[in-house]
Amino acid sequence: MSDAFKLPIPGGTPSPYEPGGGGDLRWMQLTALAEYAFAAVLLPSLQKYVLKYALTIPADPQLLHKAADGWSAISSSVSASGASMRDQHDNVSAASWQAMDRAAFGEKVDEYDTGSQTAANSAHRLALILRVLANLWTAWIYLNFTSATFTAALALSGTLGGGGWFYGQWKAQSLALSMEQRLLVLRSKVLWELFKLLVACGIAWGYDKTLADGLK
Amino acid sequence: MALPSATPGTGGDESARIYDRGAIKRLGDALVDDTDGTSPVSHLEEAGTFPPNMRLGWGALGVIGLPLTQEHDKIVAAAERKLGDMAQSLHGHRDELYTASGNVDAAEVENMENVRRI
Repeated sequence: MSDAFKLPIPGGTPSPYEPGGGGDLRWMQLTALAEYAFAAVLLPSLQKYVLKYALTIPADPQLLHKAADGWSAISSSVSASGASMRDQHDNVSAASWQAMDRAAFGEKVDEYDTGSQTAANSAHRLALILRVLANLWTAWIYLNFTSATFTAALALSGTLGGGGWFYGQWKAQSLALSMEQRLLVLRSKVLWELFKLLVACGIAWGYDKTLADGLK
Repeated sequence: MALPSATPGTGGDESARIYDRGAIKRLGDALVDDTDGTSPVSHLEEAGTFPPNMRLGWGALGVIGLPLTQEHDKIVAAAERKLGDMAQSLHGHRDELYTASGNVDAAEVENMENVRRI
């Protein structure tokens, strides 16, 4: 399997050759969401974090690593296929076969080799992008789990015993904003997330047009 | 068309010709059989066995990444078909090489008859 850099994930990264696997970070995401929701009940100004985080789940970096490993294996196999065909063709000596049909076959070998190298390069790029996304998403899950745990703990301790600086800020924001203002904040958050979804659609379109060269 | 030149020191009538039918057939076989190392088809089939487990499904990048996962899985399906087509084309090339070798055989027989008639 690929020896690419992978942020450690409990449960490891499943092989693309085997069915199943993944889902080991799901509990962490759901716990973080529940903690944000709990904090938002105590301090309504935190509602926007619940919304923001909810839209990034369910995410599964293990599946991303799995797909990246798959593309990486495809890349080397396809590249080896083109190269071995070229070697086999070149190994037939001119003394054994030298004619116009050899030249015609040579063109087909060139075409196949070029096509397979293009496909292998695309697969390699996809593997790289998925690997980066998998690591970023793993970091995002860990970061939010930590942040949500602290937020929930601070909100709880603040509610029970007066709280510190963070609690003071959140409390002040919660008191300053009316229900209507909070809804406005949430609405702008939803619009912003919709915009990001549109950007993701654009990236997907570009991904299809520029990164799948030779794979279709 | 230039006359086929003899290759000295290769031994025997067949290998002395510029068309070594055995070599052409062997090249065709090597595209699909693994007798002399992993063939191009086997390399492809090795790659084509796992795509069902490479699909991301709907829940790999969150709600916000749904368009990306959908697009990725479409590319996986297309690549799976493409690899199948590439393997098919290699089988096609093997058949073409067999045909080329057969054509040489037919031409040889025809030549021999012409020579005999003369």
